[in-house]
Amino acid sequence: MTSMLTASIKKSLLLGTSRAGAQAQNDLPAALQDSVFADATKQADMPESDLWERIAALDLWTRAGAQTLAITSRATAIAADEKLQPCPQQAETKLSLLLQGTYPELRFEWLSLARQYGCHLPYKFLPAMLELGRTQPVFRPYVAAVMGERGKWLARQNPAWNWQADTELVEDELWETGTVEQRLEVLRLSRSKDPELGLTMLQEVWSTEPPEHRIRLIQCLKENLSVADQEFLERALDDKRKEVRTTAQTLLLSLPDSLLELRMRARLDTLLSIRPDITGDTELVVCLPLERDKAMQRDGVGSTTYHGTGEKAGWLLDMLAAVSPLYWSEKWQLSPVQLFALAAKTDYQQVLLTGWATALQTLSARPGMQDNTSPQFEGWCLEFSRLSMHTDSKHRAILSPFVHKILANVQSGFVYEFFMELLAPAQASSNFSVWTILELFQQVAAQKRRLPAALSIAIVAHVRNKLNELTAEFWSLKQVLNTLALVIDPAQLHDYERDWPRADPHWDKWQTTIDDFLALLRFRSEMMHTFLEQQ
Amino acid sequence: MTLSTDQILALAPDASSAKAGSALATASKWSNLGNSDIAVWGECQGSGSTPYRAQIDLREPAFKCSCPSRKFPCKHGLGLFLLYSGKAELFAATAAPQWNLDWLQSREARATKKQETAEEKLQNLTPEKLAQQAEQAQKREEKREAKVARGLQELQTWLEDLAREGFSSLRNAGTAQWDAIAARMVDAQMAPLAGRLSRAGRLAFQTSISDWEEQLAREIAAIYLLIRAYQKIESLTPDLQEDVRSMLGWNQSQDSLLAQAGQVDCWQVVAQKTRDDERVRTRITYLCGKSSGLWAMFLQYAVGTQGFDRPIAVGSEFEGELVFYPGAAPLRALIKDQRNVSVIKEYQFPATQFDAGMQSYARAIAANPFIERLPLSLSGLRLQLDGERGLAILPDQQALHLPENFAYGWQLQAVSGGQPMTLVGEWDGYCFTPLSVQTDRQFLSLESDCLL
Repeated sequence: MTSMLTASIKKSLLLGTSRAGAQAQNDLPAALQDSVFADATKQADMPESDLWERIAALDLWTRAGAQTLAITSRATAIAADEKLQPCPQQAETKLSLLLQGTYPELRFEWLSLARQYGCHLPYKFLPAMLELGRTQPVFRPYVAAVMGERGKWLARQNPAWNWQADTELVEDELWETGTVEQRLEVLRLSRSKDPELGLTMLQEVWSTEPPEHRIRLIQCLKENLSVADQEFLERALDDKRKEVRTTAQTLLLSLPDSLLELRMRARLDTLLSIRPDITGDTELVVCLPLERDKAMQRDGVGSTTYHGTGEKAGWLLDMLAAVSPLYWSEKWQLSPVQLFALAAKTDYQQVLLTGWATALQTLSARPGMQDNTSPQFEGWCLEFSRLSMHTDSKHRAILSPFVHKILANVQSGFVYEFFMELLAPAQASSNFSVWTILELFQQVAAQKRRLPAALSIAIVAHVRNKLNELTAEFWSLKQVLNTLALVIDPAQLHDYERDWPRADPHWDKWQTTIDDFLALLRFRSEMMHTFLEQQ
Repeated sequence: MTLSTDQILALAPDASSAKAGSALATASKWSNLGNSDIAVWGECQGSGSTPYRAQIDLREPAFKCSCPSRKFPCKHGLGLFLLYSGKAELFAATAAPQWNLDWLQSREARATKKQETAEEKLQNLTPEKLAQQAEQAQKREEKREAKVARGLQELQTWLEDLAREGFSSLRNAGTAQWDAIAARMVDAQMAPLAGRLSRAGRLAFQTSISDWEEQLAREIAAIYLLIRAYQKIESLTPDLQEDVRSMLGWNQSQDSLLAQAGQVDCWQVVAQKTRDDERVRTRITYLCGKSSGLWAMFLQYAVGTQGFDRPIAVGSEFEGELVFYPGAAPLRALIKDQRNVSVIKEYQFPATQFDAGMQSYARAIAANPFIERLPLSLSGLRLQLDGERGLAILPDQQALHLPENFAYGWQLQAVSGGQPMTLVGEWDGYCFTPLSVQTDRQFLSLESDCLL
């Protein structure tokens, strides 16, 4: 902005009148001189008051005759017409609350609903949402889907928001010169768009990267992992850093029938066998590996120590954990239940169960597992779950964490049926506590997949009926309910709100927790209905 | 009368009240909901044994709740209002409960009594008492004037010292000396000057302002001009004397102002801005008379977590009477009477061309050179944000500067989509600060509708 102050005033202002010397009278515009110097009451020898009065006069004079700036640049083009429809007024109000800090965890759901109903973001919130995408990349796909033409138009004008624009050029440059975080982001993005290109990018720089970068970069291959990556990952098994090797092992085991798994199967085939025992029943014979050669070490055998398990038994566990349990049921034509029974008769029951559970968990985490399950896989999941729920407390403590993760990973019809089975009134009074079930559901809820209506109703009914039994774990009930409230089907609100034991003498202990839980569900339900307004 | 959800939420004293209020806007929390022509009421079960009784006088709106919260309006009032605005069918048009009637009655009684006591006071006084009171007032006034004169003398010397030393070493000295002189102004009963001085001292440390020297120089020069004006206040016109006195901290008695006849109109609330000064929040609301075309400025203060005493939301209008404070270019006003608050259906503020706006600004500062900024609405504006500093582009390829730290540029760009829009804002002679925007689809208050 051009200054309204004259050069001599500026000089006096900065240096001070004591150093800058006297003001030149003709410094002011002619029209002003009279009014400033006509005051008879003024002391002529006061350069200080003179300075302030000159500035005041100049200021008023400038403001009274304010001028506009002439501009030459062309105006920004107008935004294109919107293809999506505006979101309903009430939905806009809900978003405003979410952005101001009410239930920020529901922002994803709002964005998903907007996408589902073909709405674009309210224009006034576009800057806030583009900024959210800039600072939290996890929001980007959600925001991009509902930003509409106006959002794209706006993002093109602000370099900070170009995460949405065509960013290939920027990516190339970032890959060369960016920080580790930026490079990881570029690699992940590249893997999601073109996995082969991503692999090539990584291979080109691999040998020159410092180990601490390699540890992080290799993890990006998780995105769109396929057999095409196997060769590279096999070579990474020879890396000097243990963390790189471990990541490569984990990634390899996520591939079906990987070379690593085949090697482990071959090793185990010599150690485990089925034969008839003296009574004529089948027996599982377990031999421990006698030594650990270089090849085994390379494949990760013995890289972990297990508390309470001998060294060689630990090697066995590592090998079991790398082989899909389905292999054993197919090889020996035995059901999971039969295998559990055989394992129980060996000296290595815990090693066998933990190894199988780890392998099953790895299997359940493979992409696409929840949509594409085989009856064998379902059988293993269900039988393991039942085993963990009905076994003694020692084994339950070992198996439950695996089972929780497996069930959370594979949320689909058969798992939901199993949950309903757990919540059935006859079961619910059986030997495992209400808390065991809630812990399981918390893990399931953490996967953020919306639960079916019937299951949602059953879970809430379970909490409602068992409040009295939850006294010991009461302090963490709030946390569990908060997680559950995000995945329970909000359409069944009416069912959730009724029949709470409000007359119970202990109700005041539970009231806040339950009311908060219901308030969150109510908010979600209202949010969903705001989008239905326009239908 | 009812307001929109956003307007109701804008009445909340803070974000947590807005959140709590919206959580309460659900039928299951309430019992005995009802409404009449002028009020709504309901009972909300809180943590106490008896439910809280919340009620709203829809004419203003005014809130009342039996809960112990010090926030105003409290979450129950907001929740009730939100529920009424969203689901009016839940409210039975039954006879009002006694507690509602009592409250409304007491409000009316208070209003009448206030008026009566003022009149009664005058009537009950004997001429001797009157004379005695006048004498006391005179003494107090003389004492204050002496204090002000001494304070201004001190400030003048301080400012002249500042001119002698120059700005070059200002940043090294810190803000302590500014706070000290501001404190002296508080002692001399000149609170507005104190605020201006401590804010001015902070200009030097705001890295977002590139021309802080010039802005600071202008502010100091304006304060210096005010000192000089007070020194020869006798020579000023009575209106300008009022302006000078009010800028130095003399308050016009609100009661005596409210006793005067005001400007009757349908007033539209079109812009608002709130400033936080440590513990005190100051809110400026601009209103525009539908038939008179007059601008008015309504000033409110709130301390700590308290909300502003009178809820007033941009986008609402009311029929009523505003009394302007005396001055050479009157703008600040008090609300004497407020009826039939409703959502604005058609905005009718004078959207001027820039030249006409500048002429009225020049006239105003010619009448009162102490005016800093005035409300202005300009139509046909577009924004340009890609340069160093944002510009508002007028229809004829001329442009105005936006303030350097203007926070809502992208929000305006987003709602306009590059199409010309009408902006309501403040003009200070150098740059235009938009406060509200009108596009062909909507009218928004930047502060309450757009998020940063």
